[in-house]
Amino acid sequence: MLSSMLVSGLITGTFYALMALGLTMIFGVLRIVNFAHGEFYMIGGFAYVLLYHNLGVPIAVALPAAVLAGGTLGWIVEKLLIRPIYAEFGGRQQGRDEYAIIVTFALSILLIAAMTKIVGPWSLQGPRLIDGPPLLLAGVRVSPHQIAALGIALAFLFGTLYLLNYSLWGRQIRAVAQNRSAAAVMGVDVGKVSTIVFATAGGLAALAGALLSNMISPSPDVGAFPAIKSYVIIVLGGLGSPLGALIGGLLLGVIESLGAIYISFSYRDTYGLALLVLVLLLRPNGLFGETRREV
Amino acid sequence: MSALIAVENLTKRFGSLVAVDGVSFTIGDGELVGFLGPNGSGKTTVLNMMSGLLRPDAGRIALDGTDVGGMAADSIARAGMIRMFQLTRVYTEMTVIENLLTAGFALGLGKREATERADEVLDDLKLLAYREAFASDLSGGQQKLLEFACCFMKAPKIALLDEPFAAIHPTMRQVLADYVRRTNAAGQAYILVSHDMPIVIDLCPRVVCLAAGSVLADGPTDQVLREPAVIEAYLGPNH
Repeated sequence: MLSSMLVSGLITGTFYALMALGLTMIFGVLRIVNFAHGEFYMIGGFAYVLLYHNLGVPIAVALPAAVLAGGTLGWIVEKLLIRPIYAEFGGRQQGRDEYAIIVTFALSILLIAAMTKIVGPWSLQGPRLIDGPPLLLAGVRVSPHQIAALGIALAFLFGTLYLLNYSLWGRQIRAVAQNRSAAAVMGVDVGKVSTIVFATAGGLAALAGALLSNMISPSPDVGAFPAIKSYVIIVLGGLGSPLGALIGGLLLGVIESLGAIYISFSYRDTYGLALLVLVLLLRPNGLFGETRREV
Repeated sequence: MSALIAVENLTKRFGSLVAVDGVSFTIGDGELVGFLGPNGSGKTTVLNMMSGLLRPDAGRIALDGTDVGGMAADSIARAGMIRMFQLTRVYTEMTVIENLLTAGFALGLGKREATERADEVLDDLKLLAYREAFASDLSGGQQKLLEFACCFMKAPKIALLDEPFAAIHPTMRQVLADYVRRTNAAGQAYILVSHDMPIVIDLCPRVVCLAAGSVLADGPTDQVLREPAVIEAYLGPNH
């Protein structure tokens, strides 16, 4: 029972981490919380479902197209709405946090309303990546679709972490996250880095939406729930820490899974919050949060 | 000597405070110019405007004839005017070599070229033994040398050094001074902000002295340091 609950929690946690990774990257580089992050998830889910069901696009094309849709939306949002926050001169040095909150909240409402207008307030179930009878994985019945979705999610998670740590562009992103002005005077194009980060975050959230669309059917407001989980995870893991997002996501999935069985399923969503309070009491910067930042 | 840097009537206000008030000077190719002045005289503000971290309220900054006064900091760095901060700003969560590769890539070097150059600069600055160490594990002086090394991943047209000799061990100070002296002899231009008079006298043939946001004196170092107005600005009117 315990091992099956652990496996179940780790599967759920992987998708949580996929969502949270982009959110924490945005916070790390731009020092803002994107309150429209859940809507990138929703856009990805709908793009995948509508391309497949309405336009007959094959899954192998619909899935990358959904990622591209989220990434493109992220790119546009950063260029149009986020750039004024940190424009080199005349940027919103005062009230930048308030600006970011209002703009991303407004974007969230706009995207939900626009999608409701376009597709209606209903849920649409996405297609399975692979059909077939369920398999037993460490005592847990898992569908081939879930295994395929998990594999893709893990590949994107670890691929992103690898690129962040070992690629030249990844180092530029980490440099801007550690010290924006130092990176700028050393020639790092901080504007381009910010655009890449927002687009990547949008793409990752959209991927999560598409991969989960068979299990959690997308509706215009479907993004609220995974977004809230992501906020919990990035605080739990440490704001701005990609590794923290991964570990925090997996931990949240496992804790919720264990709590649902051993305590009560009804309070499943509260276990993560209780864990968050506990971690913040012991480590106010989260599990992998920085304890200091250079001026 | 042609003007590499031409600063004309540079002005910056913060509310009612005029931090920089009509500052003008030129720097020629390969010149090493000391920037002097008591605390609050506007030295760092001038450097912030030159490096693109602050927009001037008035005036012009030209690098090799191109007005860079409104350009973004990263564009100015890639154009060849690079800046080292008074308070060290290295990427503490990266290794020494990662810090250098990041700077090299940002300045347009490929991976192989950047790696070769990084090893060369580390060797010059006696940091090669720390190549794989995390920057956070270096001493304050070593971090300063690392930041300095990052500035030279691709030889800039001019390096703006803000108090590079402050609070570092005499041995490292010598390494840094030797590097500046050697590269300057090979044609590298510098602006050196420092309160360390022996170093300024040793390295800089010319100094610009600021006081209350204006240029108080500009000329050969020994001459400027003897001027009563400069002595008064540093030591007070009753000296």
